[in-house]
Amino acid sequence: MPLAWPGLVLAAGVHHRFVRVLVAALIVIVVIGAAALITMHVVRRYRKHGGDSGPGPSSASPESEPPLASVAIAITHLNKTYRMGKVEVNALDDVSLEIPNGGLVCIMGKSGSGKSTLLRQLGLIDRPSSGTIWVCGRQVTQLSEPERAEMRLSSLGYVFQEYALLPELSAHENVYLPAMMLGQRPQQYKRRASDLLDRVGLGPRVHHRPRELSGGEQQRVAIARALVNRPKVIFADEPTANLDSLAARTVMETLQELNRTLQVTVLFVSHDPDDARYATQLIQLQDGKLTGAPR
Amino acid sequence: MKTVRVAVFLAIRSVLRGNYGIASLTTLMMLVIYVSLLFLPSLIQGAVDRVNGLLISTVTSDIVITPASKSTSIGDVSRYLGKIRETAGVADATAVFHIGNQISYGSNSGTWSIDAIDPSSYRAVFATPSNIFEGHYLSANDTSQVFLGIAIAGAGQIRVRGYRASLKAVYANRQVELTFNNGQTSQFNVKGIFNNQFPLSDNNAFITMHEAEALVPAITDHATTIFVRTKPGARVGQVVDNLKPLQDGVQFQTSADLGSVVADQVATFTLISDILKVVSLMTAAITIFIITYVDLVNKRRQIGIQRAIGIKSAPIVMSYVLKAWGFAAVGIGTGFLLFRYVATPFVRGHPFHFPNGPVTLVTTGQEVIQDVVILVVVASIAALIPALRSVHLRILDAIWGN
Repeated sequence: MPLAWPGLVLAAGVHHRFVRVLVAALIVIVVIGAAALITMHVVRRYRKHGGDSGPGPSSASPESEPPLASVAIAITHLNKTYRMGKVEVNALDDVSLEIPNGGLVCIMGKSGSGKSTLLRQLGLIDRPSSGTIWVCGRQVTQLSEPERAEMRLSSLGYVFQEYALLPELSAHENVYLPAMMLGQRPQQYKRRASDLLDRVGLGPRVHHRPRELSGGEQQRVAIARALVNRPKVIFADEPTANLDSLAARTVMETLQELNRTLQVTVLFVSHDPDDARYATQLIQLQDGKLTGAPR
Repeated sequence: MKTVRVAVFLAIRSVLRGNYGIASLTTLMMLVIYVSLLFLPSLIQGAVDRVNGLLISTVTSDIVITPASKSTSIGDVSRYLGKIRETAGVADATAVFHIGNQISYGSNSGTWSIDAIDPSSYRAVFATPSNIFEGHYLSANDTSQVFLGIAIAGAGQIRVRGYRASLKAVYANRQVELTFNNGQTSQFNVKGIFNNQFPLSDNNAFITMHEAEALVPAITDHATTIFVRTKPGARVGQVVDNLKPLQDGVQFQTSADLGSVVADQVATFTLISDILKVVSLMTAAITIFIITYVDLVNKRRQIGIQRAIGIKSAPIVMSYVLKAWGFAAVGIGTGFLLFRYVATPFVRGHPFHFPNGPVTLVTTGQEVIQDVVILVVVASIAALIPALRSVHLRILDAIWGN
């Protein structure tokens, strides 16, 4: 055969024309796909060695025991190490604490103190280097990724600093998407989403897309989304950082009101002392370590 | 079920509220690729059908009966033809005697096949008598009249294939000299010139059987070949089986058996068609891969957010595959409509002029369906690979765009 092209050479043994073309096409796709995956894998490895990824998940501390039922979150000897080139940075250094059910807890600290890192470990967005985390009575450090996704969906809510709404969805759709994933009936989750948007003061704006909402309004949509599956804990990563003072106050009052009325534990990160006034408990971090006992 | 529901929801919202430019471009690419997948093979199939048609209608008919190995001719042809014509599945039959092979005109001469035919039955089996270029076809009682192919006569048609080897300037009503197998030569008037636009049959010369029997009495009621045309829908193999008991000392071949010359052409066309098809599929795969990959890179943060709020990987990946299916469906659907209702009728009205004559687009339902299946499979795999890759990133890497 004059063509030394592998797909055609292999396919030449198959007589039916349709099958021959299909086989050749599949071989091409598989070769392209394999090449792409290998390239991506190499790039990923390169990035990993020169990047910021930490080691894999930790194993549970042998002495860790389940916390009391009144405790929403318990951490023992939590460490998170990032690799920045050849330098290792301890973002969290032997952090241990307990957060009670129904608390409105503020994690404070200067920029780089490790407060957002701590929140991400607790919210199952990232994995710690070592130590044990209990959330809602469940040891979460050794969960597989699907189990973590299931827990994020059903038991936890997360509010990002930069609103993090999906731009192609309306406010209403952004809120009910997690409930849809949970398998609720459409009428049920649509009504729940409408109620929550009403509750955060956005009833008239349910069909607006994120770009049509202000920063404060987007953050309130994100709070409504975090609440849609009736989570036990809400994590908010500097929810007021990008807002003006009026919008920031509205967001904090919303969180406070939801904490009081729904008895949901709220854990938020802030560097603004004004925000700390809303908290029932204050945790201070400096250089990845707790400074003094939580107040 | 909830996975499918979320995937469909995300895919529909992404298409309806996403970038219309990307959606249109992707659909257009699918359309172009599908049409290109269909077009060239259809054209090649049209050319192949044309060649096959010419082969049967001007050279072989459906069944060719020749003497068995030791004989040089078939005897008692009149009776045998009568029996053949009464056989189930036979439309008509004609006997041909190969009587000579040299033709001269002035200082030009050459070797071509000279056959004696019965004009009326030959017309019933072959289309050659209808493809008159100049003059007229033979009549049963014609004497000293010859019917020449354009590749023998030339007729001043310098663009005709074989012109250089032809007699170049023989026109109707000119006199040519024929030399028969027994060495006898005679002057014949060119009654007509035919042009089948097919080199295999345009280099034949015909005289009437009546004339041939007068010139060479020994061939009376003999034939070197009998050609049989079957009725539409008749199975050629079955007709051959019906004909076999009628006479001993003959052998049967079908047009398919004798089509090895064009079979090579068909195989070449098919290989070219397959190569072009694979190239088109590679183009489709790479296009969809790049578009999906760029789309995913742009939406990496969104995917990170979706995963952070608990949306699992399966619906995210499925939404991208569904989008690819959607683009493929619209592109393929539009491409099919354009091909079926615009391109095909247009080419039928304005056919491509190949050396063997006008060629139109010929597509089979199987071809259409297999192209759809192949393209959808390619689109799915091309969308699946980058989507799978994107959901295996760390959530933070996805959100931060690392």
